[in-house]
This record gives sequence, C-alpha cells and structure tokens, in this order.
Amino acid sequence: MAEEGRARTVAQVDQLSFGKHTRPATDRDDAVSRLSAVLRTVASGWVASATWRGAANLLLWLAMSWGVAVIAFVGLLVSLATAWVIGLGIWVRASVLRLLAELVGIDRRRLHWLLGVRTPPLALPRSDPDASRQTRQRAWAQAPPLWRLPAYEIISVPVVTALALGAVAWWWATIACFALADRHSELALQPVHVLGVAVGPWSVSTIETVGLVIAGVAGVLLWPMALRAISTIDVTLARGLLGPNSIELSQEVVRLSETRAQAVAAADAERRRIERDLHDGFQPQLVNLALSLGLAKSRLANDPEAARALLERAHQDAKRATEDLRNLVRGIHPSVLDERGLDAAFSALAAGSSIPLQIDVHLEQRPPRDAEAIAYFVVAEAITNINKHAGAQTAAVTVNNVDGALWILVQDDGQGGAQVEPGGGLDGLSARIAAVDGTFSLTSPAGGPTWIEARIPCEW
Amino acid sequence: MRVVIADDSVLLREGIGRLLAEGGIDVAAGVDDADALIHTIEETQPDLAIIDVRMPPNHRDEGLRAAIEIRRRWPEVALLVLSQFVEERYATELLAGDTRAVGYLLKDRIADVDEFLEAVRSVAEGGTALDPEVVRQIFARSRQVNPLAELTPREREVLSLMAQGRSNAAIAETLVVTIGAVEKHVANIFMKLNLPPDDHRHRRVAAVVHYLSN
Repeated sequence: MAEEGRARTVAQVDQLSFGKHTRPATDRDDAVSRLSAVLRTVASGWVASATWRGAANLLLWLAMSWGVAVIAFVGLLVSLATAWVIGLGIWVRASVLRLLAELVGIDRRRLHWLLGVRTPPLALPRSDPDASRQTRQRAWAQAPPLWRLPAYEIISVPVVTALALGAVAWWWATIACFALADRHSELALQPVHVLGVAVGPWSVSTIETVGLVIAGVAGVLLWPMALRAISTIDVTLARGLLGPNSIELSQEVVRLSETRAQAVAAADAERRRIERDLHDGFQPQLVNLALSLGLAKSRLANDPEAARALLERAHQDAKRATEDLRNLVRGIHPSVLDERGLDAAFSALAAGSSIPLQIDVHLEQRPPRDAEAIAYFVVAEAITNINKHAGAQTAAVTVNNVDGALWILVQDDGQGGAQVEPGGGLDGLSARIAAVDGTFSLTSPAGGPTWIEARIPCEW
Repeated sequence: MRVVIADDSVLLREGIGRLLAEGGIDVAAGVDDADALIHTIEETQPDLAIIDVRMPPNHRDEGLRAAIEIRRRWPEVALLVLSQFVEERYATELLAGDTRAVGYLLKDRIADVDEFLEAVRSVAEGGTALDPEVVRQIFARSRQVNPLAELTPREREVLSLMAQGRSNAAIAETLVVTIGAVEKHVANIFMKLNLPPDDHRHRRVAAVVHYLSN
C-alpha cells in the first residue's frame, strides 16, 4: 500500500510541473480538464488512507515512545533499588518486564493496524501461577535485559520528537507563506504575526509574493509525501529493534539444534531400552518355556508324573511371558491414550501403583497427540520412580491447561532427594519436552516432598 | 449354545473355537472385522458373541464399538469382549447400558481353559465377568477400601438389583417401593461408596463393580 501511495505522489508532482512550465494551452477545454485532473490527484493524495494513517501514527508513535520510555526508566530505577531484596527483587523485575511486554504489545498493534507492519514478539518467560517458586525464578533469571524489550521506544524518543517538531515547523512555514503573501504590502512597514510568531519587517517584491504562494501550495500538496517518509522511518526502526535481532535469532538457532540433537538421542536411547527389554526379559522366558515343554515331551512315556509337573510349569511360564509382553507393549504406547485420552490412560497406571494415586485431569478438550504422549510418559515415569524410591504414602497427578500449554504436576510425600539421572527415563523425557519448547523441572529437597513439573506448549 | 467369534487373528479364532468345542459349545461363525460381525449377528442371531476390541480396518476400538451397537440393537445377545489390554474406560462404556450378560476379559485368560469356559457359560446365562485387572483399575480410580460394609441391608438389596442390570423403575417394582425411594437409596449408595457426581453412568457401573468384586 505504501508503494502505491508513493507512486501516486510522484505522478501528482509531475503533473504540477507540467502545468506550471508549459505555455497556456491553446485549447481551453484541454486546460480545464488538465487542471481538474491535477486537483483530483491532489485531493486523492489527501484522502488516501496512508495519509491519515501516517498522521495518526505520528501522534501515537510520539505518545507511546515517551510513555514507554518513561515507564521503562522508572521501572529500571525501582528494579535496581529492590534488586538486593531476595524474592522482592525478582518479583519487581518480573512485574516490570510483564508491564513493558504489555505496552510493547500495544505498540506492536499500532504498527500493525496503522502501517501494516508485523513484528515478532520477544520471548518472555511464561506466567504460570501454579509453578513452583524455583521454576519461576529460574525462568525470570533467563529473561532478556530490562532495556531490550522497550529498545525501539527508547531509541524512538529523540527521532520521533525531532520529526514531530519538524512537522510543526512544516505547517507553520506553510501557513506563514500564505499569511505573508496575503499581507505583503504591510510587511515592509511592520512585522506580521503568524501563529504568535513575529516575521519581518521585510520588503517583498511581486515575484517573491508569487514564490510564497507557490511554496505554500507545495507545503500543502507535499504533506502526504512527508508523512509517508516519517512512516518509513518508523517502520525501519521497528523492523530493526522491535523483533528479535540477528544475535538473538542465532542464539535461538543454536538452542533449537541442541534440543533437536537431544531429542534424537532420547529416541535412540528409548529404542535401545526396548531392545534390551525384549532381549533380556522376554526372550529367555520363551527359551525357558520351550525347554520345559521339550523336557516334558521326553519324559511323557517313562515318567508321566514329572512330565505333568513340567507342563504345569510351562503353562505358568507361558502366562507370565504373555503378561510381561503385555506390560512391555503397553509401556511403548498405550492404545487407549490415542482412543480416549490422558485420564483414561492413567487408570492402568493407578492400578499398577502400590502407592495410592490421586489423579485429576482438568482438560476440556484433547491436547494434540504428541503433547498427550509426552505428558503420559512423564506421569508414567514419575509414578515408576515414586514406587521404586520415594517411600511415599500418597502421590497426586494433576493435569491442566495453563495459558494454552499442557501443564503436568506429579507430587509425592516421600523422602525427597530425587535427581534426573543422565541417560535415565526422566532425562530422555526432559529432552523430548525441550524439543517442543516446553519446560521440565524436578524439585526434590532432602526430606521431601518431591515435585515434578512439566509444561508442554501446544496448539489446541 | 451358539457362539460367534470376532477376531482378526486366525490363530486365536481357531484356538478359541477348539477350546469351546472341547467344552461342548458350538461355534456358529468366525469373522475378522466389525462390519462382518454386525452382519453375522443379524443373520445368525447367536446366544453369545466373543469379540476382540482391536480389529481391522484401523485396529483401534472397532470391536468395542461393535459390541455397544450389538447391545443396542440385539440386547438378547450376550457379549464377551476380549482384549490384549483391559481398560477401565472401555469397561465403563461397555457396561453403561446394561451389566447383564456382559464380560470383559484379558486375552491371557484363555490360557486358563476351565476358568475361561466357566466365564463363557456365566456370561451366556446373563452373568457379568470382569477381569480382575479392570476391577483393580476401577478401584484405583475410586480409591476405596471396603465401603460396602457401611451400606444398610436395604441399600445392599438395591445394589444387588443394580448389579443385575435393572433400572431404578424395575428395582422399585421388585421391592414394592416408590421410584423416589429407590433414587434416595441409590444416592446414598453413591455417597457411601464415595463416587464423585461427575458422571452418572460411571457411578452406576462403579457401584456395581464394587458389589461384584466383593
């Protein structure tokens, strides 16, 4: 749209100069039609939406830049003053960042609505009222520096102030041209007041009077162009400062490659675990079963009683092998998870746990399949660990939708001291969560209680 | 007794057929997907259908859905649903309409031949056969120890009639009381069994399962 507007302005200027410098048209009708075309073009420049959008943008840009810069400055002072107070310092910093993020968000909307420019937001730690204190503090400690968020507004302050003053000067000069041309006869004797400013006394010749009128007309006609130039400056600044810059983007690329590599490694480790389970657990059982049956067959004629006992054992072994295989397969991916969702899939986990489990799934709709699977395995792994190590009396699983992310909390009242072991189940799961830009944390002070918390962002 | 077996594994279909023949039970037909099952039930009107939950084309819960449809269209056909995994949620859905002549067992149970035949006969005669694993799951979800002890004799009576698959109206008729009185007993049973009021169908089934497992 801006391109189209600029083209129109250029066309308008061409027509004007054509009108001024050629001899009067011999054909009166031709001159009239040419004049009306010029007027139409001028009028359309003035009513073009880019013009009033540019004017509105200039005013809002001025207001927002000053407002955000002042708030950022005050916020920085308060944040510095409270930085040494444990707990309060990080809370103030988080609050200031959140307020600035809101304000910058409004400014981003201004740029989108008035100038049609979209800018990607900077990543901020997500607000999560239910998250543990440690998780929140860790997240805010990694937040961008305070000045980065409102950088565009701060740098805009001198620029937009200068441009706004320039615009005022433009209009004063334009009005002055007409005022001086109108009163050029008085001007030689005494100063003329234009909007409260005294000009003169000057002596103005007739040629100069014509020049003043032309300058005034040009001031009016070129105003849309000037506004567009101002908008272009704004867009350039916003593109450079509002979104993530190239350093931030390359840091993001590094982070993405790391989490991807971890996710691939986790999938590999999982495949090896399945192979190990099948090889070490299931295969010996089948061999043993075949052995019992073979022995029973050879003893059937001579020692039917021993053969009977062997058959009985083979029967038991076969049933146990079936059960083990069932548990192994269910551990790879429970089909009920796909068919009926998390709550239904948790029933078998609860039945398999020797510690009573309270399960609360508060989801109004099903999360995407991948997020659901990660959530399920986080809970399954946590429950396995609680049953093995925690010495807990009870455990609770809560699943919620917090700010559009799938949020999982597994708590137990055990002895604490749990850790994410490298290469262990929780390690692999935290890599999978990191690969989808989620967060995972394990809080387990000695003496308990233990909290496992995961957040999986997803499109619902 | 005439039985239809629906399982996409030929091996298991033949195995179950052999086992039933051993017990003197006649297999009318074996099918390998849900559509064929519905079609065969309509044609042969068997006494019992043994159905695998997972069947073609999608290998998801086709068998379960077919079982629910059969219960709706031909309530006189007894249903024994077998599965590689039993799930509390599937049991709830299967038993939601009616707990009479319904079974839901792990496929592993086939290995205990006599017990399996017993379950087949019991279901065909109108009984309920739930796998111990699914009962464990239902218990784990309702977190109860032994709340049945707290029920009054009248509430126990109502619960036993619920377990036979009777509606509140039918229970009222049997006990010669008003429906309102039955509803009050049922509400008390739910409260004493500590069954949350979020899902009415689930509560009724859970109460019945409590009763059956004691």
